[in-house]
Amino acid sequence: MENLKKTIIKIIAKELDVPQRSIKDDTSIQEDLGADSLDAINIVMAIENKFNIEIDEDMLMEFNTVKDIVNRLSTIVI
Amino acid sequence: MRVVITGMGIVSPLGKDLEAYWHSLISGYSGVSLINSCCLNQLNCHFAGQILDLNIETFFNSRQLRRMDRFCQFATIAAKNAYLDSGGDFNSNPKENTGVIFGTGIGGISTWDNNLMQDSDPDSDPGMNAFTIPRIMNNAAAAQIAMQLNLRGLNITVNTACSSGANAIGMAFREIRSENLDSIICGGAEAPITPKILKAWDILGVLSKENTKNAVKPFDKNRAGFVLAEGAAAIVLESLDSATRHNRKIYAEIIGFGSNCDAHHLTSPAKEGQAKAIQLALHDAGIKANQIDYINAHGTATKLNDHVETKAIKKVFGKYAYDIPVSSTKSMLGHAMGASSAMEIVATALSVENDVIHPTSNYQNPDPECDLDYVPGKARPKTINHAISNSFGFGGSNAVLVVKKWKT
Repeated sequence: MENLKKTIIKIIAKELDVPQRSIKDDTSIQEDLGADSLDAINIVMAIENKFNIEIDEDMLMEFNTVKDIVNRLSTIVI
Repeated sequence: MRVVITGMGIVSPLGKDLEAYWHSLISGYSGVSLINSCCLNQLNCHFAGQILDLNIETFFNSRQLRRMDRFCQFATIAAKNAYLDSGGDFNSNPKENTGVIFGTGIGGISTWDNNLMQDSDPDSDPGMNAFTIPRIMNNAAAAQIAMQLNLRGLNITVNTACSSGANAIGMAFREIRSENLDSIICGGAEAPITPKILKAWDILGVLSKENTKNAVKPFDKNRAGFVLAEGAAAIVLESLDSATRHNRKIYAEIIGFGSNCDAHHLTSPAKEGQAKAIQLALHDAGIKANQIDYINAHGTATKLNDHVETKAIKKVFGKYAYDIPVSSTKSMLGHAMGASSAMEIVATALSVENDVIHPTSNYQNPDPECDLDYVPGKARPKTINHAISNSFGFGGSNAVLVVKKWKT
């Protein structure tokens, strides 16, 4: 779980060009980091490529905070 | 309604601000340089008009840069500088009466063609993501300019190949003359120095194989074609009422626009169409041919262009053609496609303002078919009350603007 979180934070930091340390469990990708719909697509693409999975649109809508993403993905990739 | 130029901005191989651009032009400098790339062995033309020392991070943050192709970056810098130059309002209030009309030939091609020539790696991943389409689309430049300055008026992108910038400025002129808007930021932008685009132009046989910084020799008997160039130029056109109300500085007045199509060939020009475009512009301006003091030529340094443009000028001006100085801006910076005509209108406006004509660089050997006064070698002082700027695009799309010295 901790490794998954680290990987997710690394992906978000790279896609949004922000320091990893600025991203916490309850950081909102949209509200705190300013991501728009285009950034969200890029983050999803990067996660899909990293874990070789497909994420559907419904799942995309559930993604807000880092915790949301980790919780949702933990059922698939762990 | 009279239409005046109240601001100008430029990002070019000859300078990244108006002062540097004008100094380079009248000094006859070359903005052409060797392309630094691993792909050169596949090309005949190894030189281009490149912008090499622009520190792009000083203009945009990383979030903005991810969303902008190189052509869009050039356009936005030039537009913001033109707006600043005009004394435009940078507050966050929406500006309902200011629009944007911008030209480009191939828009965000450097996003599509896998990075810049300088950085190209044939084995790298194309790297598509959610920003690919927003970066490629031709109207990204006009949209970014509007978003960054909060300009809520008409927002149009013009694509007529190498006359895109001139048609954008001409359409803006008509919009303001018709009193539809108070002001419009108009111009053109291009970033075509990419491996595939260079190769594709190479195939057309119009790029110089001379491979020196003096390779572009318009109207010279030993001409060898042009080199590609990149950059953007922007002009703030404003109604005289608005300019007076805001106490703007006025560079020059636009008084005529002629735009038409040869309806002849996708890439070959036609004398009749070009001559007609010049006549339309003169008629629109309400002036006679013998009132023109200077012609800023399309001047690409291809045999076909040089011969046809010279014939078109002679057809319109008759014997008076021999008394008009004709010079080519492309001789110094190459051909920036959709941006070039906007860069040339900036040069024309500065000539009209300063009464100085920049030279046609690299002109040494007269061509019997090109027997006009091409202002060889060095700049020339001359009182310029009226000038025209010729722009002729692939597809036979011609655009000619008449620039008049500012007098109340």
